[in-house]
Amino acid sequence: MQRYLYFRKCTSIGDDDDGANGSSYFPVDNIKAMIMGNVAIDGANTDDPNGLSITFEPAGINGASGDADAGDNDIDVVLIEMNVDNSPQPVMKAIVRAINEGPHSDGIISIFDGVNGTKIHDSISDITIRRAVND
Amino acid sequence: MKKFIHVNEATSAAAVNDEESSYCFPVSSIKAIGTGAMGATGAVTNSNTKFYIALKPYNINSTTAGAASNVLGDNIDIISVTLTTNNNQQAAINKLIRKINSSRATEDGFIDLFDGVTGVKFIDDISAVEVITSAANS
Repeated sequence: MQRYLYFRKCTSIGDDDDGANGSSYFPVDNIKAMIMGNVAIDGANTDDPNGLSITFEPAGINGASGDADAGDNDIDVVLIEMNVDNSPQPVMKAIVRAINEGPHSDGIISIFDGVNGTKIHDSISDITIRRAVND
Repeated sequence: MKKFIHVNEATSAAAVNDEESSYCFPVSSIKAIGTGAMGATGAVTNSNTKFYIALKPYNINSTTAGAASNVLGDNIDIISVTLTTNNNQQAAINKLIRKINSSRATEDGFIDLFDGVTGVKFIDDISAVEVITSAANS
């Protein structure tokens, strides 16, 4: 089974129409790490007591030898904002458990859905999606 | 099951706010495990108390598309584990690998290797961990 982490930042279905606010599905196999702090697409991590970043292999950059520039090392990031400071482990555990749940999982692991008002852990308050591009 | 290794190198809850604190890496990102102290460039120096878990970097993608002059693009991440007992690395690594491959029905996939705040440690002999990562990739 191919499992995907699902994120939707917007709170209105009418705004479900782009890469920042709309529906995004990231393959579980593309997770690089979950890390405390606020990570940019160039990997810089800024202190953030309520920020948990999930980093992914980038959707917008392939593995071929295009017009190389420093930005082509970039990653995709989903920043999870928590309403509890300094406590990412419960959210990490909830995500890992959901990834491994079965046998009735349909492969869609909803982490945050602003339209439906659902989230995988109560301490999640919002998300921000950041994407690498191959310019 | 897709397992993840968690480490928290911080020793106070207030310090759990940055890259010197809590990480959760997929086991599938492990490149190698071995005795000694490894740096982000892959060089291993001798240590009687440390073992390394070399990982695909969390903040550099896996393509080969980065600028040729950007040596950071070749770097890796490392969980550097310090043990109390000298030359006890093999026993500790074996225990970790057995946990990675355990298939007990009660497992949830979350391997809490070390947490400096809660005091949780999967291997009793661990005294500290350090996660070594690259700076920004560009």
